[in-house]
Amino acid sequence: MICVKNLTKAFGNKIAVKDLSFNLDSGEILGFLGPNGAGKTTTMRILTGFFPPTSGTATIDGIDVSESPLQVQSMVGYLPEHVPLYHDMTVREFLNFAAAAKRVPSARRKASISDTVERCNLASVADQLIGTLSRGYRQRVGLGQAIINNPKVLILDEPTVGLDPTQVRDIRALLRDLGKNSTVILSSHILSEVQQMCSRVVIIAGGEMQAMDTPANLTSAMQGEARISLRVTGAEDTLLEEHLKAIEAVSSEERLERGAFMIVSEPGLGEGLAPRIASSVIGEGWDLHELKANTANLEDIFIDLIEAEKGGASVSHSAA
Amino acid sequence: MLAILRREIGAYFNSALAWMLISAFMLILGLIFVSLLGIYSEYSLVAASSPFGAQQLNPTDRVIVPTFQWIGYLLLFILPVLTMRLIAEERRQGTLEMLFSYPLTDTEIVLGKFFGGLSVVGVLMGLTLGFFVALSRLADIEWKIVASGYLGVFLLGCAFVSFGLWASSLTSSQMISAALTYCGLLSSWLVVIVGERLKGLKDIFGDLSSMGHLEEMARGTVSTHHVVYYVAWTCLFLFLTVRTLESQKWSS
Repeated sequence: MICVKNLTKAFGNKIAVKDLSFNLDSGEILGFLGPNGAGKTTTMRILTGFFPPTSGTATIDGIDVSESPLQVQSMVGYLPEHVPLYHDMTVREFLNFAAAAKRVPSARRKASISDTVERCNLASVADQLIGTLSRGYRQRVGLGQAIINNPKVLILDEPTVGLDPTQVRDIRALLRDLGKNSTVILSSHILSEVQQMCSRVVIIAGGEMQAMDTPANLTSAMQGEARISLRVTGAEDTLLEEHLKAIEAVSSEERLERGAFMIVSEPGLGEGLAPRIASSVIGEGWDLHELKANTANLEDIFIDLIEAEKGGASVSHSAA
Repeated sequence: MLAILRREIGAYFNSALAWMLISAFMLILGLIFVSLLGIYSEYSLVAASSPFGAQQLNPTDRVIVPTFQWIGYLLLFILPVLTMRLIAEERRQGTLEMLFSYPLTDTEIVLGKFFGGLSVVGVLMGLTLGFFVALSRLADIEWKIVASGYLGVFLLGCAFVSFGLWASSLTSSQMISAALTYCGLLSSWLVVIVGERLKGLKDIFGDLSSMGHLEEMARGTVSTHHVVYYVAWTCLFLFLTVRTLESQKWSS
């Protein structure tokens, strides 16, 4: 459905997106994960025909975005970051405007507006001015304008930013519902969101793709590596650290605060480490207050990848 | 394009600003019109007592031409405030990015906004027609001349709106947009003063003046010369606006 090939976008000397490639089948929900300024918005803007890429191609349903932007735009729904809306229009007027601007035939316009109002749960505010709506409702209106023409592809830039937890839950439910009819790309820097909602994840940092896989695969790549947090009293920290280091299969330990450590196992040898640590601490006669084994989640992978990227950059910088 | 046009018309006539400006425009023009009539009627008393006076007396020179001139001056003062928001506001709100994701060409967006701005000029033209209807009850007037004057006002409106639209496309600040439009429009009018100081170039500078062409048309001279001046101006700035939007997308 969406095919991005060697996409590069430069603004002057600054390279915003570098050699990005991915394919997306119809019906998938792709999560675009990365810190601010990673190139998420730039990629999305290229896909919506806002500006052409410097090199590389992006096609949606086999149509090149920069060659025939109008054709692509009529099958894409886009929700920009910060949800820009006309505050002086009512919800219904605005949806009517969006439908007309997106060339929904006038005979079908009424039906598609009432359908959108229903899907986005906007019936209670349909005749209110957008300027008077809460953030959560504005987000829904923004989604409403994106889906009004029944687009095959939905591109959503940070769709849940700035919402309270209930609103986030509602919007996620709505997105999942919309995902049944369309291919969705959403960007986020909230990892749990991507983990919950997306069938695939692209991690992007510094304009380059760091990883692309299903959330489950990305997590399992890190599994077998246990992270154990530990709190002990009755021992000097230095002594405790020496002792922990000596335990089999411990790859690193980091002192978090007095008596508290984060221990990471050697890859693949995480199994059974927690009980070994527990029995050895107790064996020394120290008091074990807390011992918690965490499985790796996307957050760790994300941070690892971003850190690796930063490390790599600083190395090459000093080499130059 | 129609969707944008409808949205712009709605935005204007739902806002207090447009109505306030239209009211102020009509009030000031009304006062001027009444004083023009007053002067005209004094002249006609003088003319009645002199056998030669009547020849000099005609409502075209004394009332119609000055009225159209004043419509031009007042447009110069209210249009920058009306056109300043056209694109600058969308840029500030971020809605421009949304518009760019719609299946609309830049030309459609620009034309929709241009005609939206022109709709206010249209309303003003409709309202001022009342003055000429009133005048026609008091004196014999040539409707051909009034029609020619209105064509001039319309073309002047096109030119001013297109310039304001371009200024609005350059910035996200409505203030800067309005200030730029004032500068541009005032200098397009006052360029005639420069011409008066330079011998031999007077005609050229006079021809460049935006108000000068309106004055000629208000006297009933519809020549291609005047029409081409305004049409060329309008096309130039509409073209520049489209280009400005394009280039900003590439570098944003």
